[in-house]
Amino acid sequence: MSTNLRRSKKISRARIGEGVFYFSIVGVPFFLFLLLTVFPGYFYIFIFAIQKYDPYSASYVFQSDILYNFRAFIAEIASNPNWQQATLNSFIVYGLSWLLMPMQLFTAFYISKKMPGTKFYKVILMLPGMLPGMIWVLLYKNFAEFALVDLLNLPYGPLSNVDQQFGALLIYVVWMAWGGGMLLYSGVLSGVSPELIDAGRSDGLNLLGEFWYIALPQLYPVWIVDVIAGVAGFFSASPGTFEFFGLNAGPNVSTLGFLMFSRVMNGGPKNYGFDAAASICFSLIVMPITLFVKWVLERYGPSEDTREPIHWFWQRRRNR
Amino acid sequence: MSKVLNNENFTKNNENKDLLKSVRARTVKKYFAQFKSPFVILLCVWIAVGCISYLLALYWGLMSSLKEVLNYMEDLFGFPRRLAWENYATAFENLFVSIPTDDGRRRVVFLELLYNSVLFSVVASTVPVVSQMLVAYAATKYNFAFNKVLHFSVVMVIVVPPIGSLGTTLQLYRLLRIYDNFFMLMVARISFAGSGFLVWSGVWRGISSEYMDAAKIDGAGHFRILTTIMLPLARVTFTIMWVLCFITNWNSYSMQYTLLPSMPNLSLALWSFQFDVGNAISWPPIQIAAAMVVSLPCLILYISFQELLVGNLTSGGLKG
Repeated sequence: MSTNLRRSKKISRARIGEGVFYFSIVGVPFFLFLLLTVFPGYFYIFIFAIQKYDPYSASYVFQSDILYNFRAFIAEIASNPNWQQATLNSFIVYGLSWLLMPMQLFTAFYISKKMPGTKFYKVILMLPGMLPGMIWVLLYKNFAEFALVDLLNLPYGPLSNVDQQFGALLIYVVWMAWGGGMLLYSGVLSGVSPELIDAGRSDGLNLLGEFWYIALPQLYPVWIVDVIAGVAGFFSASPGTFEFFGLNAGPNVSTLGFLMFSRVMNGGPKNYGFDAAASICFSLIVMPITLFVKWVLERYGPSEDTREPIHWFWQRRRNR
Repeated sequence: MSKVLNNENFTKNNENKDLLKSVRARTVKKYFAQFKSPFVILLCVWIAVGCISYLLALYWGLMSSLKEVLNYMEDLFGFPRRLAWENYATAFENLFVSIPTDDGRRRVVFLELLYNSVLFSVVASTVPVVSQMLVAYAATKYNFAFNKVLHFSVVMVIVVPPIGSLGTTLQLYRLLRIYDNFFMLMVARISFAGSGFLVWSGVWRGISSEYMDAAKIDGAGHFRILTTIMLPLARVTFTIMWVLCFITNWNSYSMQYTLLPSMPNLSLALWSFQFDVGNAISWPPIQIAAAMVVSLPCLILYISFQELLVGNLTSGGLKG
C-alpha cells in the first residue's frame, strides 16, 4: 500500500517536472501567438470595424451605428469600379493558380520518377525560390520593356501598356510557378512503394496510367490541404503587383489583396475601420466556402479505403 | 607458370571489360528507353523550357549588368563590348534608402543596408526556427492534452488565415511598442504557428523516443535530454530550416516596408531602386548589377547547401 502511494507520489512529481518543462517551452510562444496573431486577426479586427477614426483627436471612437463601416464597404464594392476590377483580377489570378496545378503535379511526378535530367532540373527549378524575388522582377521588367520591344518592334513594352500590364503579370506568375510545389509533391511521390508500381505495371499500366491511378490518389491528401488553404488565398493573391508597380499601381493590375494592402499603407489609420469591416466580410465569405470545399473533397474524393491506389485502380478497371 | 597466370588474368580482365560494357550498354539502353513514351518526352521538354528560361534570364542579366549603358541600348543580346565593372561600383555607391528621422531624412547607404540585412536575416531566422523546433518537440514528445490546442491553432491559422489584418496588426504593434523596434519585433517572432511547426512535428515523430527513455533511466533531466541527445539528432534539419529561413528573410522587404521602416535592408533598397528615374541608377545595367550584388549571398548559400537542400527536403518534412 505504502509502496503504491510512494510510487504514485513519485509519478506525480515526475509528471509535475514534465509539466514545468513542457510549459516553459510552450508558454511564451503560445501567449505571443494569442496576443499577436489570434487577437489582431480574429478579435481586434471586430473592435476596429465598429469604430470610426476621429482626425481631430487622432484616435478611434465608437460610433452609434455599429454597421457603418460594413455599409460603407458594401456601397463601395457595389459602386466603385476599382473594387470590381480588383475582384475580377483576383478571380483570374486564383483561376490561374488552378490551371498551374496540373503543370506542377506533372513536374513533381517527373522528378519523383527520377527520369532523365532530374538532378539538374531539381537544382534549377529551385532557383526562383532561392534568389531574391526582386532579381526576377528586375530581369523580367527589363526584358519585357527593352529586349522584347527590340525583338518584336513594339511601340511600348507590355508593362508600360495599360491594356497589357495585367497579362504581362500573369505571364510572370506562370514563369515563376514552373517548379512550384515540386518539393512538396515529389516528396510525397517518392514515398510510393515500388511494389505498388510493379503491381500496376504488371496489370498493364503505362506511365500516364501510373500518374493517374497511383500518383494522383497518393497526392490527394496533400493536394486537399493545398486546396483548402488556398481558398483564403483568393483574397490575398497578387501577381506581383506591388513588386512591379509599388503602391501606385493602377486598378487594372490590382487584386483585392493588393487593394487592401495599398489602402492601409497609403491611407494610414483613417482607413483601418473600413478595412477591418472589409476583412470581416471577406472572412465571412471564406469560412463557409472553405468548409464546403473540405466537405466536397472529403465526400467525393477517393475515400480512406479506396485511397489505397492499387485498390482504386482495380475498382476502376472492374467498373470498366 | 607465370605465363599461364598472366593469360588467365588477361581473360579475366577481358571478361570484366565485356561485362562492364554490357552493363553500360544496358544502362544506356534503359536510359533512352524512357524517352520512348511521348508523355516523358513532352514532360522533359516542358521542364527543360522552364529551366532554360531561368538560366537564360540569369545569363542575360549578368551580361546586361556588365554592359555600358550605350552598349546595352544598342545591343541588348550580345556580349558586352567592354566589361563595365564600374556598373557594380555605381550600384554600390548609389544603392541607398532614404528614411525619415527626427531631424528630417537620412540616407542609409550600402554598408548599413548590408549590416541590416545580415542582422535581420540571422536573428529573424534563428528565433522562429528555434521556437518552432522547441514547441514541436514539446508537443510531440510529451503527452499533454494541450498538444491538441497547439495543433488546432496551427491548422486553424493555415486553413482560415486572418485576412486583411495588416491595419489592426500595425495599430496593435504601435500600441505595444513593437512597431519599428527591432528587438521587440524579434521577440514577436517567437512563434510556432506556421508550416514549420508541422515539418518539425514530422521530424520529431521520426526520431525514436527510446533515446529519451534510455537517458531518463540514466538519470538525465528533460533539459539535458533535449540539449545533449535530441537536438544533435535534428541538427541537419535545423541547418536546412535555418538556411531556407535565412534566404527568405534576406529576400524579404515587406517586413521592413511595413513594420521596420527605420531599418531598411538591401532587398528594400533594390525594390525602391527600380522606381528611381532620371539619375545614374535608373539605367537597367546598373539596376541589374545591383540585383546581382544583392543575390550573391543567396547564391553562395544555395550552392554551398545545395546537396543538403535539394536532397533532404521531402513533403512529410525533412530527413533528419
